[in-house]
Amino acid sequence: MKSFIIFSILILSSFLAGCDGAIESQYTPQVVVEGFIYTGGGIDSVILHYTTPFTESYNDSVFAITGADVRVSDGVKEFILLPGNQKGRYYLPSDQLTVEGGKTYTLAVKTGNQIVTANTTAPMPIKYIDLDSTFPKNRILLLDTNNAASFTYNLYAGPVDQSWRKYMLQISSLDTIYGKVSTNIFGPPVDTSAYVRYSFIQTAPHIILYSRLFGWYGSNRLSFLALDSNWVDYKRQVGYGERTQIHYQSSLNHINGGIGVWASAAKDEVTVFLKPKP
Amino acid sequence: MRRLSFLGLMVFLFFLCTGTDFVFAKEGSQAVLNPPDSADAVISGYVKDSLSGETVIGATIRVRLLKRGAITNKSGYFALHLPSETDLKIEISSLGYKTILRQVHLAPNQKLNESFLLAPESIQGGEITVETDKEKDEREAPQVSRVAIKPSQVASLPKAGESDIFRILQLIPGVQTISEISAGLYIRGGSPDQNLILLDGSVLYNPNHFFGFFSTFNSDAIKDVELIKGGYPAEYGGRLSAVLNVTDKDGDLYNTNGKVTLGLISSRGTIETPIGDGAITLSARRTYIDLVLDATGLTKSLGIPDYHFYDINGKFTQTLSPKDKIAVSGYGGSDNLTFNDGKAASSVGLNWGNQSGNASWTHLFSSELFTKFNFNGSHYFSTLNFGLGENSFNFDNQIYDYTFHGDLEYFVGSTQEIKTGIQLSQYHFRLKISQGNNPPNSDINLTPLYAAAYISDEWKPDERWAITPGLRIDGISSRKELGIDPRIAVRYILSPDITLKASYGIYHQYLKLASNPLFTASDIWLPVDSTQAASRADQYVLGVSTAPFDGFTFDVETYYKNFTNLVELRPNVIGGSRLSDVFFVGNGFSYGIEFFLQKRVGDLTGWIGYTLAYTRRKFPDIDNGGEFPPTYDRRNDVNLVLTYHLNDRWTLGSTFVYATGQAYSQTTALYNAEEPDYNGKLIPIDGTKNGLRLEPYHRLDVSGTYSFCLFSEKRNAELNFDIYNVYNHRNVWFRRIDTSTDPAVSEDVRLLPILPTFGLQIKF
Repeated sequence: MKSFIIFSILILSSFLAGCDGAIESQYTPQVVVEGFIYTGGGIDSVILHYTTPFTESYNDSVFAITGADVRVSDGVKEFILLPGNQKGRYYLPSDQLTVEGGKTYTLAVKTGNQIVTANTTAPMPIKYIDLDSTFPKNRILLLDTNNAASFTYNLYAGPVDQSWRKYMLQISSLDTIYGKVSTNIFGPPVDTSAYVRYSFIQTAPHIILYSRLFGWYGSNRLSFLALDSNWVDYKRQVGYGERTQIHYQSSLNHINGGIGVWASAAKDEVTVFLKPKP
Repeated sequence: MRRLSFLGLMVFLFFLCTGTDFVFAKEGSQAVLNPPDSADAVISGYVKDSLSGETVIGATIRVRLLKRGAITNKSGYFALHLPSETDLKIEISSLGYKTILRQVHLAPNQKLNESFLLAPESIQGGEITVETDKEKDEREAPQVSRVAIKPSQVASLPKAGESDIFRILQLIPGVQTISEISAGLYIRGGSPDQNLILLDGSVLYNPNHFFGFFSTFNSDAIKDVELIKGGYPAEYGGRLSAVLNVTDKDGDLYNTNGKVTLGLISSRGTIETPIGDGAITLSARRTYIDLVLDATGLTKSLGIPDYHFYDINGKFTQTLSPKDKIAVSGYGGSDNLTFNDGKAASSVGLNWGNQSGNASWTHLFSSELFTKFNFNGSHYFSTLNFGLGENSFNFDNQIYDYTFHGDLEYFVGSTQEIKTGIQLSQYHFRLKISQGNNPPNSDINLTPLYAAAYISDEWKPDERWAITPGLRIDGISSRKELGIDPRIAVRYILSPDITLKASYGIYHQYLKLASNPLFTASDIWLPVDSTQAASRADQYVLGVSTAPFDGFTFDVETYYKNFTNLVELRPNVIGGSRLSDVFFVGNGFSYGIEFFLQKRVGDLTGWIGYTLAYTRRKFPDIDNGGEFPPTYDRRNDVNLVLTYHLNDRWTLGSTFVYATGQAYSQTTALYNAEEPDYNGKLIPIDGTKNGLRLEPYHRLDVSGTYSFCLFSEKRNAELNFDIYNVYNHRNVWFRRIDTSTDPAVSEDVRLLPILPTFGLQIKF
């Protein structure tokens, strides 16, 4: 009985010891960078804004960062980006720099006391392989809505510059007058409201084009992208669908002093016209 | 210094006595080495259920006069050295059986081998004194942290639609769950992948049905469930935390009988029959939500997927001679979810399950040398297909495990029992993730070989002490390193009512699991490789077992576990076949104290369990390398389990659970993630990892079981009524962030409301 009383006191003490405090986290504004560059292209847009407190509405113009010092270096020369027409957008006039495959580009942003840097190495150029045998010559693709599973095109590109290189297809709807392509809820995640859809990232330059990748009938641009590792990590971060329930993962972030993306890709493009099969 | 010297002398004497019948004892401050007693005769045999002939695991054989005893092993076998030319009274007992007494007088060097039959008896309203003796035997067993569950204990407790042994295990102190719809066992700060789950010796890699809501174990097919929460002995290995050892029924050796259970979401049936000098038993169950929805046309009209699960257990046993027994058993189970809409190129196919088979041969080389050879195979599969044909996303994960065990138990003398054995496992891990006919994003095909050898010695120098040192050495071919795992368990009987126990051990785990705890259908197991070492745990356990009142036992155990080389899944892995591509690696620790007040006899039985626990992880790549609690870390966990045998017809059951809310990360900010030509989406940014807690979890379930006669003169049927979540407190499953609203909000995804169910069981 005596030991039971001792144990009872022990239990009570344990229960009291079991009350521990919560760790509340505070909002700290962070610089968010969004910059994508393409081999053979210029630096059209680097977007800068601050993170939004969770309890507030996101408003691009409120949280956009203006007056920042934004520079890009190719290792030889440093270029200063200019503010764009929209708040928080910065660009480099197209005649100043052409992105070259294999070169590393460093972004440096200074705003107030915050300094943000990131690097990307542009992939070597790629090209579609044998598109004429993949698509009809007129590039008109017919979708049989009663048998959407039969809509399949194998797209190839090359050459492969690095064995670890990853690839992705970007499908951009160029017009919306021909209506939306119906998408059932069961299937790979897609953003039903977007004009751009992305395929899954692939480990080889061979991607299958299927009907779920199209959001709209009519003209669609198919961009075959060879991605740098920053873009791959960013895609791993943001996912594929509209609302992916993915939270920010610091392990996938490559922006020093901030968050977001500074990434490069090589791409080749083709435009097709998607029609419902009569 | 004097104590140290005494300890040193004890260790010296232990090694001196090993393998001999010499015993030593502490007399005052002196250690005395005694010559062997006259234990030159041996009584051995199997202990069996008198009605079915099933062997009884964990039965106690005791000679009070000599203060000497033995416990039947997993095969129901024991051997006990006794002095000859002495009149001895042997007591054979097990909880739930009538104790039998045998008078023996053994001749010099006689080896008496026979079977002892125990008649089952109800533990309700039984003679408490006799039953507490049996409990005392269990309490004084040398193994720490061991919990044994009989399937009959499951029957009268609330079951949420399906009787499930895991639901009962989750009510044991030290065992936690991540939610009420998860059958995962989080034991003393370890995740479910750290538990070695054995069904008749075969490893089950994903013991879940219905996305984790139910376990794969059909309670009608089970004879015995043993959970060792920590400090498990050297005969087991390959996992960091715990062992769950499930033994299927051998089958009724004398009569054909069966059982059919009709439930709201599934039905199951079991039949057992004698065959030759053995028995065969078959059990099967299946859910029928899909059949009901199909028949009513709701599947098509609502556009919902077909879902069902099934499992089948079978076992065949034969006694070939008094020295030889064989058993062949098998398990097959699968969950299937399908949806097809060819017009929209939409389809989902999700299929996962386990298959296992086991063949064992038990042979007595002599009455003191018990051997068991097992060959078993286990196959876990999980396939997921989104889309149709070349438009599909395909995930195909397979594990094949072919294992040979050779185990030997040598009952050396009156004071020692040596166990030794080997294990050889050939694994085949296959993981292929692809889109249509594209080259696979992941294509892993590994065939490592695992080998282990162990030895342990349960040494009882006197009636108070039991010391069980052990050593396990193992390794896997995919990484060139050996795991050397010394283990030791010590028991000391302080007084008739108080037993002290302690253990220490090192444990290695060579297989790592990539899994989402909220969705257990697509577990991926991978072996260690050159990029990441085996995980290791050092476990310390200290416990005391007491009997404060007649009919009650009260156990307190405290533990500390230190983990190294733990893994966490990297987010959204694309490609990569090395472990470092898939996992972050880090360390952790857990510690806690468990209180377990139990009443196992009388009309009112049950227990109150309370656990105070702390679990922490530390990964350089997570949360800036800071310490964080995993989501399943629970500070307080209280379980109340009651069964009341009202009368011959009615049994009432109730369970109540209270637990600290699970840890979660507070979202502090959002950022708009843009991609080229894409309108962006809001991504939540979290603060300190798992720094906050969801609201506490609590739930009350009740049940009533009514026994009656159905086309028979004896009570052969039971009607079972359950009310799950009686006061309709919908607990929080997890907190999600909804970015579709402006501003974004956090909302709690809640679990099940009040849920009445019923079932009918008929025995024949």
